[in-house]
Amino acid sequence: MDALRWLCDAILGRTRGLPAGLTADQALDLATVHGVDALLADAALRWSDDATMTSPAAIAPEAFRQTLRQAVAVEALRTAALKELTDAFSRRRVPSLLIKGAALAFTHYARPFLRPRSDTDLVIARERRDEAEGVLAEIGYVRDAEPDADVASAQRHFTRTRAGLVDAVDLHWRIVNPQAFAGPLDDFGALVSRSVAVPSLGAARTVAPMDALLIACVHRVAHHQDRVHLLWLWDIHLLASAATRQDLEAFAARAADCAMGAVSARSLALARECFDTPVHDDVLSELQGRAAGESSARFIGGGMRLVDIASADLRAAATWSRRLQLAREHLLPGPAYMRSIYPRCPGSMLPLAYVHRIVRGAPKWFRRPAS
Amino acid sequence: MAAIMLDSLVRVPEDVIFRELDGEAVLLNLHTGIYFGLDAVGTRIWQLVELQHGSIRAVWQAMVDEFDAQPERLEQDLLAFVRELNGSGLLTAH
Repeated sequence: MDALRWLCDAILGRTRGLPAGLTADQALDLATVHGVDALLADAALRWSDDATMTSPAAIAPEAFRQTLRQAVAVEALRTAALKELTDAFSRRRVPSLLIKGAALAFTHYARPFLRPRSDTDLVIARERRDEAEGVLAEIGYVRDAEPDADVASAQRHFTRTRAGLVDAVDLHWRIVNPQAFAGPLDDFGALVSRSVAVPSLGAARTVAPMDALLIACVHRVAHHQDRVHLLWLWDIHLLASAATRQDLEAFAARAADCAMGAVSARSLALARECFDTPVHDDVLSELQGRAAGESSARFIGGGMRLVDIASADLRAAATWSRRLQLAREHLLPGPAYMRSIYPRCPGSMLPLAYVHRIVRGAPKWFRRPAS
Repeated sequence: MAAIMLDSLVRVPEDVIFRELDGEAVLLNLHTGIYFGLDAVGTRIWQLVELQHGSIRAVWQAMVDEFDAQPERLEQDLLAFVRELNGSGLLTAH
């Protein structure tokens, strides 16, 4: 039996034994690679009362218990940081919405520690970005060394270390970077108007469930080369499973309006393949049927080099001025960023530093992503 | 730091949180990141510490009533447990 298939069934609670050739440690390692180690440990520890002694929990209960203890401890630290973050935005009256794992952990998972995450994604209105950065600075977050892009990137990155845990915040003013995905999904006002509260996080709010589903479907394709990563597919599974038929039909219509029908169909189909997600064929057909000509569909299947993504961005950009801005942001980042990566370069030599950066970075743009 | 004895009082520092987990529990100091996994007995002792407002003697008396073990042995185990948590910043003697 395929190990990945077994892992999906184990998380679903549909199998209670290890397949031949897979040890408990290997099962846990595979689950960790896919971000579902806490989900596996949680499911497997419930098997220990069962007579089946081939379950991983029966063979390695301590390893599974330790996985959960660590997940609980890390989650407690992350939750404390998250409350501080969302309270600070609320106190300063800068509207923000949590998206992806940080929100789903509290809205769709049985217990938040089952949804591990390495960062917190927060969406704000583009025009409030300076204020938002001020709020982050106030509570100790420092911006990573990165160019000041507006079009080439949809987010800025901040980190802070507390109690030995690095806490990262991705501050978005659009949902994903590639221009092929720009559009109605980036309308912050519309996202806020449909948003919902996250009661266990105080003042925090997150996007509506069907917006969350669209973001989950799009993110894995737009930013991660359509990679099969079980945690993201489990997010999609939980969101789609909690939706009614009418919700999913409305979702299909919105995905099509955002020109993300094919990408959404792809992600839902993968979730269904892995976790038997209850998505009716009609919904997938509706998504596929209206997907003709979607530039985002080019990202399905992955394998895109940076140069392919940049080329898709240039084609998808709405105006020539936007295309020029894209090219400038990629090739000529601001002097402050250049000085941070070439700290010993005198100001008069900065033009040479730009040339050096372009020449040195060129091979990376033509490299195929690891499959 | 005063030695922790049966008549000591302890309190849970503000930065320490307790999360139950299927019969076990995790104690975490949010300030230091240090955490402890508690088994079922440790979890019960922690609950008694909170219930008895930090009185080690009251916790011990409750344990004598609840557990089928020699009182001297329970005292020894309880003090070792509390001292370890105190040393890790998960409990404070006062």
